[in-house]
Amino acid sequence: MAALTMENPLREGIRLERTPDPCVMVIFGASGDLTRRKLMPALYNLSRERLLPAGFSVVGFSRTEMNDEQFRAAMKEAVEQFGEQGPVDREAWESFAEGLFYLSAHPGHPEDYASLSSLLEEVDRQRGTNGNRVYYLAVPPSSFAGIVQQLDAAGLAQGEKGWRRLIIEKPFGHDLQSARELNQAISKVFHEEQIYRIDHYLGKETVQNLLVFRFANGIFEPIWNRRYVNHVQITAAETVGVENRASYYEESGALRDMVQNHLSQVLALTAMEPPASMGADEVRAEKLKVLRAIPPLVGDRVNSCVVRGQYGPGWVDGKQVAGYRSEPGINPNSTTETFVALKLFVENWRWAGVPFYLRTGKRLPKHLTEIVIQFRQAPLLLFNHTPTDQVSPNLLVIRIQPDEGISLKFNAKQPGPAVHVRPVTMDFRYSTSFGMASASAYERLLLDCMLGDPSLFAHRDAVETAWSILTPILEAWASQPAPSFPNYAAGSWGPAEADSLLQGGCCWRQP
Amino acid sequence: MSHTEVPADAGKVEKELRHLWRSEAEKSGTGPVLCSRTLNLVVYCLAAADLQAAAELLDPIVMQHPCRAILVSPAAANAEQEIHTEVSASCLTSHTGNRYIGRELISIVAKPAAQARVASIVRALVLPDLPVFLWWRDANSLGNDLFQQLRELASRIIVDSAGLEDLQADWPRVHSLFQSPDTAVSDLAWSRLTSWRQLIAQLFDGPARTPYVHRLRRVVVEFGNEGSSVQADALLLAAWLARQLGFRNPQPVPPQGAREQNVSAVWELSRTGSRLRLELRQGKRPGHGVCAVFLSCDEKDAATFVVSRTQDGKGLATRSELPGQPPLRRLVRTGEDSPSRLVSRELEILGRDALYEEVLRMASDLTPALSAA
Repeated sequence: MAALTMENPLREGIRLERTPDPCVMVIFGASGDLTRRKLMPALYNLSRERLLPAGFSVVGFSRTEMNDEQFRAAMKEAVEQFGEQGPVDREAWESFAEGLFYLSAHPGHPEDYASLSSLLEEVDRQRGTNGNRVYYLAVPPSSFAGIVQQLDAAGLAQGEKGWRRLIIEKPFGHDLQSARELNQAISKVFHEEQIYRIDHYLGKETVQNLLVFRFANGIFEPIWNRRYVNHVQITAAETVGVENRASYYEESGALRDMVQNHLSQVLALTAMEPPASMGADEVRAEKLKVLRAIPPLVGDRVNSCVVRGQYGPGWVDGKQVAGYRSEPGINPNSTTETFVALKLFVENWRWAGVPFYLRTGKRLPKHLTEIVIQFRQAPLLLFNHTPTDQVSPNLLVIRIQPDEGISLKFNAKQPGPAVHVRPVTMDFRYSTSFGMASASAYERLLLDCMLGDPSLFAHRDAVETAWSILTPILEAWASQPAPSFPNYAAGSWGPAEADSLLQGGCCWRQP
Repeated sequence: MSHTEVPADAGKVEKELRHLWRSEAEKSGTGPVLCSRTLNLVVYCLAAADLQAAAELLDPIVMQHPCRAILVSPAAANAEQEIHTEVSASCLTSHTGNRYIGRELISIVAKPAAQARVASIVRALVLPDLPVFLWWRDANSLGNDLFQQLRELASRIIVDSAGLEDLQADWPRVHSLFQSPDTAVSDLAWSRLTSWRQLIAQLFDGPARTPYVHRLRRVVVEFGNEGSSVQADALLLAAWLARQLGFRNPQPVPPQGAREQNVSAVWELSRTGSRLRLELRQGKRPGHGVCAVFLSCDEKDAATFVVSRTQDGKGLATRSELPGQPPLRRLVRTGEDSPSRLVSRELEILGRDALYEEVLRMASDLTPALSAA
């Protein structure tokens, strides 16, 4: 009989999607931008799709003075403004909003955590959430350790009843040392399996499809190695400038903001070995092996394998834009990089000698993220009307955003009496092959956390290993004279030096 | 979109389609039209008059599942041609604004004497390497010769058992059709229950609530007042609940007294150490399909659970009352279960639905007790 009470027999069947246990999500920073723009629209959408349990509740924890009703009204406004599913249905919203509560509180005040504890007990009683909690730290990283300690002191981090999970947003530290300190501070209170480091890139459909593409098809894996691949390019380009994140970005820069987390994770997924299963531990272990196989760049190799840049004034998408140093809140002599390109190697049996080129930047001509696998040229060209160097290499382009899809470029004969070779592409687009819109990355990741599935979250070891690759670069830059910035015009593909990173006559793909 | 009549010949149909795509490309002025197709959808319509309605249902389906659709229908008795074929091809605009969602529609209307030709033409027209779904829109002709010929092509058959005219008489026949190990079946009556099942299951999620699911002793499924017999959706939901709760061996219980005058059928089922009373009853709500489900534990627990359709028919409301706890209510919008939406969902599934097949078996055990409401 005991076993009977553990399982809900009505859950059987392929059509019933996974639904988490009834739980409370406590959002620290509930009056902030992230909550309004991403978290609440994602939670409401999950509720609309019947993917949240009846008792699901949110407790907003923030300094702003508000009561429950004001919080509910503010969240409704946020869902209306930032949700992508059209007008909010009044009755459905009211039903969802019955589970929204707010605590006007200071993250540094122990007495406010006592109030939080009382409120959570009351929510448990009213809504059957049974002690299950997700703590979402939608606050600056400098507050992480303090909040975690307060949760511990108030007895909220662990408990006999229910489960406790913690979600933190990047940046996970600003170098290896600080990442280790942060991880240590959090791990004193939460076990690693309770910690969910969110990287919204990993929640994107195409990133997840990368594993399906590689491991559910028999034709790609045999050529996914040094024997057939010339090099790999990973580009994450933004057209926007620093926007309203000046103070954060000045301290961060492109390497910390994008490469440490998003690009290193995408690289790991691209290069990893097939895992023994799709279980979270197995996938994360294989990703970690890739990162560990990347030798850190030290000494002269920092200058020969890394190019940094900062945008000056220019034109983007038909609009004239200011240079980085003229943006509001930016030091006029700032040496923060807004562009970085790297040449890395994954020194393992599969990839030895194959360069992985990573580049990311702000104020580039297009907003996109893509992985490009460039294959080796045919060994001999038989068609004398097309010189060898005019035959394009085969490219497999995996577009992560926007317009997610996969494209294969190959050569074909142009119709006519002579043999002229021309490159053509075969395109797969998510939007035309599957008409349905994908769930947002936050929806997927929030749901996974509530379900206790950490597959798409960054593990401590991966975070620290990524930092161990990048910290020597940061240290080398710090010891060098100030770079000659700005060195690329807004609206260009970055500094010209980035082109010289590529070897063997290769060049960056112009997306 | 214009329809072009072509001879009933697969080669000529393909040629005309290629011509239509060229015209489409010229009209768009953006070069060749690149279309993805993910499946074949063969639709059997009740009559030629049903073709237009079926074609209109296809647009939202194609948006989700770019496909080649082949509509087949019996011709009217006074039709001039023994077999009549039309084709059309066009691009639809996707949710992202791309035009490249291809819609190819082939309609074949044939007199009974030409049915053998129909199956052979369809066989030649299905796109290779893609799954074939057969949507049979007339539940009462399931099993006829054309069905038997077309099912051989199909990876999955979509039917709607709610369209059966006499559930008690037809259910065993439908059930036997799907005994074949090679045929995967989608039943839209079952698909309509997905939201119901999701919300009922959620009532018992979590360690504090799951124990109550094992103490349920009474289940009432109420359906709309349209028609005079038990509806397939209600029967399937009742069968699902009984099966999942572990009860077997249904024994009909005759309805008694005025209180039970609207009760269509009552069973008592048993499980080791406990019994379940299962009722199907016609409610007062207008329409077809399930209106409400009432679940209750034994009197000692005094726990009750209700899921009901909202008045506007576009949502479901749940209410659960557990001893010593305030009632927990919830309302979710499920949207309308249009045939297009239901079929779209079915096209996402390729494998067999083992649970549905089990529920179908349980429903067959329940049907002998059905009587007119």
